Amino acid sequence: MWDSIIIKPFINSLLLIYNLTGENFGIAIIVFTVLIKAITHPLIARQIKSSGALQDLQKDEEYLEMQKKYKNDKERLGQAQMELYKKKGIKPFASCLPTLIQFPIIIGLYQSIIQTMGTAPLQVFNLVSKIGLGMSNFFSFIPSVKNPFALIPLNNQFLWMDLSQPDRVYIPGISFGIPVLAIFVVITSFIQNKLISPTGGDQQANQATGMMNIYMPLLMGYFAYSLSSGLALYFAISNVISLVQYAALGRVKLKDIFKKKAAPTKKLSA
Amino acid sequence: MKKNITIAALLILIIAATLAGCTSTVGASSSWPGLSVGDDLAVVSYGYQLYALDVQNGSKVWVFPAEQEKNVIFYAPVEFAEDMVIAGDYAHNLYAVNDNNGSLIWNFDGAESRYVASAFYKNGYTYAPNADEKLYVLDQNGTLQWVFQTTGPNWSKPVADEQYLYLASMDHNVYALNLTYLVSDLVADEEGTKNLVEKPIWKTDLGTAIVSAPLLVDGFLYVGTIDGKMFKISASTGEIVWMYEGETKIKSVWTKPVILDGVLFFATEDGNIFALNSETGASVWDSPMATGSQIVAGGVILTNSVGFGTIDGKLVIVDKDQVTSPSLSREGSIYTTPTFKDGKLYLMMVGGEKLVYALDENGREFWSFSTEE
Repeated sequence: MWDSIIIKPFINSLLLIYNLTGENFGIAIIVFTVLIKAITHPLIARQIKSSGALQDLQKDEEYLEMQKKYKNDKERLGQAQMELYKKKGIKPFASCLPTLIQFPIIIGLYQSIIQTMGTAPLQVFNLVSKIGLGMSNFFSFIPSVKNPFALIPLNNQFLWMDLSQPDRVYIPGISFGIPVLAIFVVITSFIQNKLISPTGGDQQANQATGMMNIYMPLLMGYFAYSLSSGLALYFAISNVISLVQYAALGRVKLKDIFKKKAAPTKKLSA
Repeated sequence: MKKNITIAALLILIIAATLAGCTSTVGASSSWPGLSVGDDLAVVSYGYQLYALDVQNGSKVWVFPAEQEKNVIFYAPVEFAEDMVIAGDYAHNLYAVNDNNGSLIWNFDGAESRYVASAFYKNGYTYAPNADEKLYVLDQNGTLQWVFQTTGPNWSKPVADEQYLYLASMDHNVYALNLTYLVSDLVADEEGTKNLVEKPIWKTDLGTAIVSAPLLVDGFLYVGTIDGKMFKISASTGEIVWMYEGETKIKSVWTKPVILDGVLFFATEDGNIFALNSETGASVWDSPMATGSQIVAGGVILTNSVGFGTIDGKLVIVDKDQVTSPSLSREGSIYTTPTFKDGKLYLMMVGGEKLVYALDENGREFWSFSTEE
């Protein structure tokens, strides 16, 4: 079912884009990621707005006062918070639903890129079994649209990379390859995390946020370093588009990226 | 106290596990084991080593290399040559191994990618197709003689008659080449070495990639493509004699076809077995035989029937009248083309209790083998 609803349509779309963009898989990944991000933008926009409102609320005087006032009465604090959310028109769970809807799309996109990049027999066998003629028939009015089977094997060369292999750039005089994309992924993940992480919470929350800000980019960088560069390209493009989305919604404050967090509020409850 | 930090750590772990789970197949060797059966040995190519087994009792005669090496991975079936077996690995090496004791005779490391298909040996020459879009031809000592450049990876074993060598490539073409070339017939490669065949005798474009080996019978090649077409091609001219794609579009062909009593049998990825008149290309049966499981392994000719191994672990046996015999099955999946030789049927099972079974046609077991033994 997952294959029929998500993976097959994604793979066939990816192949169609590959076909229409000069049969370069790197360009196909970029265009496909941009398209999926554009389609899911309304969901992301809602999520960013909701989480932004929640972040802003944490700096609100009324909110801070309430934290102080009910620091020993969790039940009352909860009620007061809900009343404040209502008053300010904030739906605290509004940022969760878009995330939940996006999640299968992101995983599907990710899996379809992996499956389409396969260069070994079992991978190509699995890929071929998912190819259908429906999409190429539908777009057959476009003269350059080919039978998708004729596109196999795919051209995995993009810039200096073989997209099915981990990315390394070899510079004369340096004995090891430099993982340029992995470094880019670490940097963009770091910036993205800095932008979306909440500010002004208690000390515990700030510690957890700080941990996420360091380990998540490193984790993404590790995957970009060790997996095929096609996936690293997807991570990189995805991060760049997310940053653009944040900027478009006014959530990017460049001066905040390298700024230390504001002094944490004291822990309010035991 | 540490609630937030624990949640953050858990979140990182979940994301790591999700990404790792989704990418578990990336970079994996992702192929199926190879099996070649000679007069005395059955050689299994699976993972880090080749396992040479005595065909009489399945006992291990030798393994190559003696100690596992991290970057040496075998999937392509070996080719039996004179007193040696030739095996290509996934790290661009082609080895000639003494078939008596498993010692290395020579090693050719001139390729740039993996050997997916078996090499072909004839008259002292080894013809080795590689995924780096080249066919390498070596002499008895493993010295490179000439190279043929294709425009796509080469995943299928070449075949030859007394006149030409035939190579089916993922670049959509079937090529005919001379069995040997004089240096004066060759042109310089990128590095200036004069070892490249300038042009084939003929080439025929079949429209999509070819991953299965062609069958050469009585001057004709029979080969399937990944978009679900079966072709009969004249070996002397490359002319397409007929093409079959079914009344409704059939699925991709990964299997090498077999011919029994003038009937060409092949299977498609979705598990249908087809029987065609090899002369005319017309379907012999009213409808294909559905096995209910995917098929990637080639057919095997038994005494009066043919067998196709399925991914759900059955060997489906059928004759030209579409009369089936009880399927043979063992635990695991059949990806590797079975072999029937001297009354023994060799089945290779992936993911089962045993890797290789030697059976009679009724499924009675002579011996079995697993790499742990």
